Amino acid sequence: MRFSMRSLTETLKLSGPNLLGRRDGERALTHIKARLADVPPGGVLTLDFEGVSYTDASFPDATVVALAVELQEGQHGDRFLVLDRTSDAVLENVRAALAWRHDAEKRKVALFYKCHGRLDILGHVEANLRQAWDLARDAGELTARALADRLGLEINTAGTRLLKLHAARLLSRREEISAAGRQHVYTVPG
Amino acid sequence: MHTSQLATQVIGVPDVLGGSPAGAERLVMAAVAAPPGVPIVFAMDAVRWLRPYGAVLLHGLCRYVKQCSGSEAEFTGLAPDVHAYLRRIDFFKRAAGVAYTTMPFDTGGDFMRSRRSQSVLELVSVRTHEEAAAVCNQAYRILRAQFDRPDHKTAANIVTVLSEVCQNVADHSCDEGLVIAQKYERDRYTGVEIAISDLGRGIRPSLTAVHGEVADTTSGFIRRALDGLSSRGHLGHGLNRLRMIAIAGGGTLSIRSGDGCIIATRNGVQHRDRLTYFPGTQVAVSFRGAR
Repeated sequence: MRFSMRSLTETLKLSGPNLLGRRDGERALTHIKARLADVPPGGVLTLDFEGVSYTDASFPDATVVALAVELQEGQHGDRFLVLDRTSDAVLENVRAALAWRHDAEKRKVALFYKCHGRLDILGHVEANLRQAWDLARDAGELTARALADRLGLEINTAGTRLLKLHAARLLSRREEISAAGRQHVYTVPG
Repeated sequence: MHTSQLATQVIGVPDVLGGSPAGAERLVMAAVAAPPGVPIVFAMDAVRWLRPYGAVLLHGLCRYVKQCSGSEAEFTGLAPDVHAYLRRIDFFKRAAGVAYTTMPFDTGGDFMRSRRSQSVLELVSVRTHEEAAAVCNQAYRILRAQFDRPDHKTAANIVTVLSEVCQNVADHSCDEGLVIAQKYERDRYTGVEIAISDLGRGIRPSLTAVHGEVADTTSGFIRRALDGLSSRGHLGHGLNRLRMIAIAGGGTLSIRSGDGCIIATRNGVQHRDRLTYFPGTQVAVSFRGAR
C-alpha cells in the first residue's frame, strides 16, 4: 500500500511543494497512521516522496522517524514502513534525524528505503545484524538454522539476531511447522 | 519627529558588522547604554561591508531604541555601496517606523534585482508558521532558478536552515522575526549566510517556564536548546541540524539570547555569558557548499 507524501500539501493545505516544520509533521503523521491502519498484518506501507524536493530537519523527525519508533515499540502491530522515491535532500535530513535519535536518545532506529529499486536500510543497525539482514535479502528468506550454518554460529545466536531484526521491524516472520518441527522463517518485507 | 531637531546619541557602527562577535557586542552595548528618551544616530561612516547578521542585528537595535527613546533611529554616513545594499535587502522598508535616513539614494545600477543576485532572500518578516513556510517556499523558487538541480545539496541546506530558524520564531519567540539569506559565489564553492533576529521571550525564559532551571548560565540554556531541549516538551532536532550543516560546511552557528551566546564550529562550542542584556534571540548560520 502506498501513501503519496506530495498529497499532504493538499490535505494539510500547505502553501508549497515542500514538507517543512514539526507542526505540519505532527499533522501529517495523523494521516499517515490512518493509512497504516489499513495495511494488513505483515504488510508494508510505502511512503512515496515523488514530487517532494525538500524537507527540513523537523518534518521527517516528526513523521517517518517518529513512526519508525512507534513501529519498533509495537504500537502498530506487524506492519512495516518503506520510503520510496526520496530525493537526496530528503534522505539527508531523514538520515540526520535518525542519527540524532541515536546520539541524543540512545535509541537505535532504522527504517527501509528504496535505492534504485532495491531495498536498503537507513539508520543504525549493528554490523552483525546488518550481515544477517543482507543474507536474508539476498536469499529471499532465512531461518536460524540456515544463518547458523552459513556463518558458523550457534543456532541460538543466529536465532537471536533474526529475532532482533524482526523486533526492529526490518524482517517479517512466519511460523512453519514441518516434519522437522516448528521454525520461524524470516523474510525482508515487501 | 526627526532627530535633527533634538539632542541625540551618536553611535558609530563598526565595519563588517556581523563579521566578528566583538564588533557586534560593542554596538549592542552602546545602544543599550544610550540614555532613555534620547534619539539615536547610527553613524555608518566606518562601514564598507555589512554581513547578513549585521543587518538583522541593526534592525533589532532600531526596534529596541525606538522602544526606549520613542524616536526612529537615523542612519548617517552611508557609503554608496552600503546604502545600495541596505536598499537592496529592503532594510528601510522593513525598518519603517523605527529607522530612516535622509541621505539621497541613486536608484540605478546595483539596486536592480536579478537572477544573478547574491541574495536568496531580502529581509523578510516572520511571525507565524504559515509565514515561515512562505519564506521557505519563496527561497525554494529562487534557488530552483539558481542551481542546476532541484535537489542540489547546498540549496537543500539553505531551505533546511531557513525553515528551522523561522519555525523556531513561530514556535517560541512570541514576536516578529526578521530573516535574511545571502549566497556568495566563489570560484570553487558557494558561501551561504543566513541570519534571523527577534525581540521575543528569549531562550532562557522560554525553557525555564517549562523545564525549570536546567542550566546555571544563559549560555548553558542555549546549549541545552542546541542539544534538543524544547519549550514544546518534546526533544527538538532542528538546532542540532543547523550545527551539523554549519560544521560540515566549515562554517559557524552562533546563537545569542539575553546575556549569553554560544558559537559552534568544527573546533567545538564556545560559551559566552555576562554580555550586555539584549532581548530576544539572534541566530546566524554560515557554511560553504558546492556550486
